[in-house]
Amino acid sequence: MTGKRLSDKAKTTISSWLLLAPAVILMCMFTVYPICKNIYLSFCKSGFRYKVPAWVGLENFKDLFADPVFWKVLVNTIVFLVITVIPSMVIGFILAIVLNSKFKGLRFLRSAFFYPVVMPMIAVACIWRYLYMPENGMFATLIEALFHIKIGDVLSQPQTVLPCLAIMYVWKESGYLMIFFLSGLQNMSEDYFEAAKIDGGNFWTILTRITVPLMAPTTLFVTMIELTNAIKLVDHIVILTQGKPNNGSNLLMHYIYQLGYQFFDQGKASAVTTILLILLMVISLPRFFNSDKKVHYN
Amino acid sequence: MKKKVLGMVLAAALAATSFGSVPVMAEDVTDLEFYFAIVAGGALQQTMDAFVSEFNEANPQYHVEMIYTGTNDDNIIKLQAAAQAGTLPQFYVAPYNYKYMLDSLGIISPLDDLVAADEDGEAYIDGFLDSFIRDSYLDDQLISIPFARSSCIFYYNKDAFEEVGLDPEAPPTSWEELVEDAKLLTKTDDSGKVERYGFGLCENQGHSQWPYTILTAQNGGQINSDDGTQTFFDSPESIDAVQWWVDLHNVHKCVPDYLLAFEDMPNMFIEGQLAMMQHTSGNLTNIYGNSDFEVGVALMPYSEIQTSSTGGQNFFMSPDCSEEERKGAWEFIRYCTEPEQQARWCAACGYLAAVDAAYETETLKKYMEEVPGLQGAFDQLNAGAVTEIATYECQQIWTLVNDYLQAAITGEMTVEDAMGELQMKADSILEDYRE
Repeated sequence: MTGKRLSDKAKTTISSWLLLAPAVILMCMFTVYPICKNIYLSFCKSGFRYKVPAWVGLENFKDLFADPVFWKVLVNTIVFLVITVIPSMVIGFILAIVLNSKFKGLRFLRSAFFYPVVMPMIAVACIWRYLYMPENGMFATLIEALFHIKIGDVLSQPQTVLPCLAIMYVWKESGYLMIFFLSGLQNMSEDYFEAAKIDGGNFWTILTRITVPLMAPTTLFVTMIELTNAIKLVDHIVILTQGKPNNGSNLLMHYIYQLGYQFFDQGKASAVTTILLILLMVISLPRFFNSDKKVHYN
Repeated sequence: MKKKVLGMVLAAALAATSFGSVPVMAEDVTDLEFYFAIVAGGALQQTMDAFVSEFNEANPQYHVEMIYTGTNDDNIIKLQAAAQAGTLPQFYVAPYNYKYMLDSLGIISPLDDLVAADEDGEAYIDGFLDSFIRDSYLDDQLISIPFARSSCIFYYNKDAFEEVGLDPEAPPTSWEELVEDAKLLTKTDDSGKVERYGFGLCENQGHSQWPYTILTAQNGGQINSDDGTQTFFDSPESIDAVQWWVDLHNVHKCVPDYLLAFEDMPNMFIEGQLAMMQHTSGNLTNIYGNSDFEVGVALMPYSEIQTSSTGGQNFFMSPDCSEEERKGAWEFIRYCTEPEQQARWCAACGYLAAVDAAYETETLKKYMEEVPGLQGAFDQLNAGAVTEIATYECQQIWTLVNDYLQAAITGEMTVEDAMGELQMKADSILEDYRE
């Protein structure tokens, strides 16, 4: 064989790589390189004061683990995930079930429930800032009129601030999740339901024995999306609370922003980013390893 | 043939214009850039644009270009990026109390040689108000020039005073009187809903360090050491001041029972929901223009020492500039801080003129007729106005102060615990800077 002639296999390999090259180069530049650099920086003292990052090993992580603020933020983030992901999935699912049947005004309702999704979080947060306002805000006025209780500023009390942020988030996200559930429902074969009805299954049995199990792939997918979405969000904190009161509403993403761009401590910000990266990887692991075993595809 | 001739004519014309004007400009003009961040409302940008174009017109040997960088935080981030890339602007505007931080970044340069070279340099520096120029020194070297400065002042609603039988010309002068008046002024409707709170100071993230500075200073306390490496958050004066603040909420119930936001206060005052408040002089125009009652501005009620606290931005100069560039930047800074320009600046956006002589100009005299409170703000500056917390890593320290004040106000921690822990945390951050 001369050097000029290549086997078919080699040709395919080369042409695939060439075709993929732009995507691979972009991914390396904007995803792989920053991740590697971030991991490197998390072992360095770096930021405004240091012209060149100085290697300090695990010191950033040690500092973080010794800092109660970090733990408070981590617990806040987990609490926020639990109280947003589960309710928004349940509500999204119920909305999908209801809106999957046919009745008059269906289209209007579907777009009405989807409407919050298209609004940017910044705008949503600005609107809800008014709703949550003490004294004259809608919720304060409503609760005072109905129950004669003065609730004050719900966004500056440690007990209420996270649930209030969660309610706003659930309101915005359920419509988004509804769309996934709806498409999952519509992809299901009618046969199962007909068969179940003939066998005398009532609504509840059909829901728990057929709909929910068949929705497992969608549910898994939605869980991943929702967990990563909720963890990545930062706009609502910036607009509504900036982490007040005393870090009571500070979440990981906002904490990273604070460390990196307000305190100019790039090393520590990178360390928290690395932790967030690990957290996100753990969250998305089931998708890689478990998806084929436990969930049913039609 | 025709085309060719036309082309030659065009080429000749082009050559003539480019040889005629451009090279001459490039030889003699020193290009200057400066970063500018906007943090207040009003006709700020137009006024700054006007200063730049007037200066460029009067000084053809210089060409100043203003680069608007966003908020103070954005400005610092962009300065950091420029410093790393070696493209720092020749000068920039930044909060005056960032001086230690800017120093630790190595992006400031002393201005003493420029003052010495200027024929009336000494007189120029003496012309600034003491409360402002005081903060321009680091290790006895002049490192910044006051420009867009403000002060916290005491606003009150004269009509509300009259309504509850208080003398509108005798505002409270001490903390005790303030609490008494505030309780009288707090008005509840039949259902128990509060229609008007007696008093308010800002308690939200990023702002509560200002009233904290003022209350502690009024109590005779020192907040930070002069070299910016030491804080005294757990001093008795500081703890007592915060306790008084917390008592306004829990004992006297004369301030809103939540964390009051700096941004919401001017509107609440205008709407008559706050009878008295501490707020920035930057809102004078807004408040006088929009209130349908008579507004008063008085000296701060205090416990031990009559004082308020200043805010705002100064001009800083980057290191490693050529002689020509430094001279040009100095000329521009001097232009912006002449009495007339400072008066225009003050009238346009409610910043306080930083030089004494500006208050004698026609521009400000006319403005004072519309907004008499400016006199009160000027009096406050002369009566006393301390530096807002200024340390190394000041943004981190400010955030901590805010966090712990909130913990004390919402009852999450006792005042002693909160201030003690705050001091401990501040120590762990600042110890790197101590020798």
